Amino acid sequence: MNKKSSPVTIPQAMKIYLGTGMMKETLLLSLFPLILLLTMLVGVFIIGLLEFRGDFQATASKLTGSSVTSFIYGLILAPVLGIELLLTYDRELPGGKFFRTVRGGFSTFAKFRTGLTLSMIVQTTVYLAVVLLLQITKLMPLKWGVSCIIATFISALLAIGLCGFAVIIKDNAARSITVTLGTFAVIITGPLSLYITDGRLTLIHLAAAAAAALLIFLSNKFVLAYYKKYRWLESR
Amino acid sequence: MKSAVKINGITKKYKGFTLGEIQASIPCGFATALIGANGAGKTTLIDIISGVTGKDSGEAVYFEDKTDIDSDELRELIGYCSSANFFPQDWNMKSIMTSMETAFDSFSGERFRKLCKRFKLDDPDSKKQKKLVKLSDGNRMRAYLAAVLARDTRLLILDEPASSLDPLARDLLCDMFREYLAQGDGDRTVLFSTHNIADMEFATDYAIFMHEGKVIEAGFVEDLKEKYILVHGDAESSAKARPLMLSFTANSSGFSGIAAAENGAELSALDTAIEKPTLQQLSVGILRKAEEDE
Repeated sequence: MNKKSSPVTIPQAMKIYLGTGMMKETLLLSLFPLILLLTMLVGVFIIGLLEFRGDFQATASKLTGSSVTSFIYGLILAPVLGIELLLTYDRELPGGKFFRTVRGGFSTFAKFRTGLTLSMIVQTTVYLAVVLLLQITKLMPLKWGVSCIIATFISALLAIGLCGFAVIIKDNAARSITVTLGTFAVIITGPLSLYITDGRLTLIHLAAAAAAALLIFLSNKFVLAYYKKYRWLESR
Repeated sequence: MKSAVKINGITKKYKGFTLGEIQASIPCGFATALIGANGAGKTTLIDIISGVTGKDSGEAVYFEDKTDIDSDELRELIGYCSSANFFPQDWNMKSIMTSMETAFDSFSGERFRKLCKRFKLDDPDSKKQKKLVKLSDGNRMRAYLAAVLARDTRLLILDEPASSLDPLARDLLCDMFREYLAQGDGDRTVLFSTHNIADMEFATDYAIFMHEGKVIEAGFVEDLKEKYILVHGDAESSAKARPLMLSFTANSSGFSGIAAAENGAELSALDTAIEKPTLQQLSVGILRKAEEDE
């Protein structure tokens, strides 16, 4: 096997695998959780208004600062990340055979996975920046304010790192369930941790952030090595 | 004779199926059909020589001297296409073009547009395009073929390209093979697999027959048609003819089947009609014989 690095760059690898430019795809994928967020906000306000018979102030004060809202922001992000983590293009899946014949072969796939990880981090950042805007403008302030947003960001990165390992699960259904549920479970630890620390960011969060960075690096490396050895050219 | 691919002792073991050892040669400048029933190992062999699947042992030598299928040089020279879900199904023609332009230096967007028009597919530049998942099986296959034919390659490897095409589209595909080979001036080769050779016969120069993971017969079609004969006879001579036949079908009115040409004189003496078989008839005869020999 040719061990030379592919001349393909990360944006080129993303283009090969997604059929569209990396920037365009990242922006589109960033929009998806924002649309879900908007839908959630509109829906919740309508329900609230009906509940409080048109008293907007009562609705807003009931909803904002609710700890439930703090969890919802993370839960909206979870399925988006879960779907992207599952993009491995096994040989038996649509596109699987095509991607094994393109320039660079496995090296291009590795660059695609790295690009996808970077894209997920950008999407998470964009999404939580909008949530921060809602916080600052007091349109939808969270129970623990900016701490909640930062804690959710850290737990989202943890989810990307941890659940990345799950893609090596052989069975399709088991892999999908593990990644999806795992992403949900890990993301809610962010807001959950603030119950323990009384809404403050502590050394625990710093340690979690460092662990997330390490896990993202390790899961990428480990998953790629495993995938190359057991799944790139072989059937499951 | 120059070979586009020389297959030396390739084997691959799966649970319940073993491919190989395969020894075969794909002659350069011709269209080769890999013929066999479902499960014969055609797709496995094609995937191995295309670099899509690993092998357990053996090697393939490409264009007389290249062996590393992972090299970008070989990837540029070989155009591979499978029949099932070749591209992600949420792609449209524009996505295919964007990906292929980046993935292969030899891909021509202009040529792809022309092929899309010829195959009556969406224009890759149009604003409204259907995704692959919304296309019929036949149109999806046409999209895959347009993508691979838009590249400047020396070897086309196609897995069951005709299986989902209507007769008109199959005829068009045969024309495209002939054009592709003619433009290469003896330097281009086509290898395709099929379990139904009837509609692809006129595009086939060389045939390799597979059964249960093994190559059971191979040769230029014209040579095979000299090596074997198609025999028809009446019911009275069927019992005497049967031991001389490779494959045999009989009913109350008569019999027919494939025999080795060397038995032609003996079979003629039994008041039979002998003719040159079509590749389809040859395939049925050879594969049926292989089944009976199990």
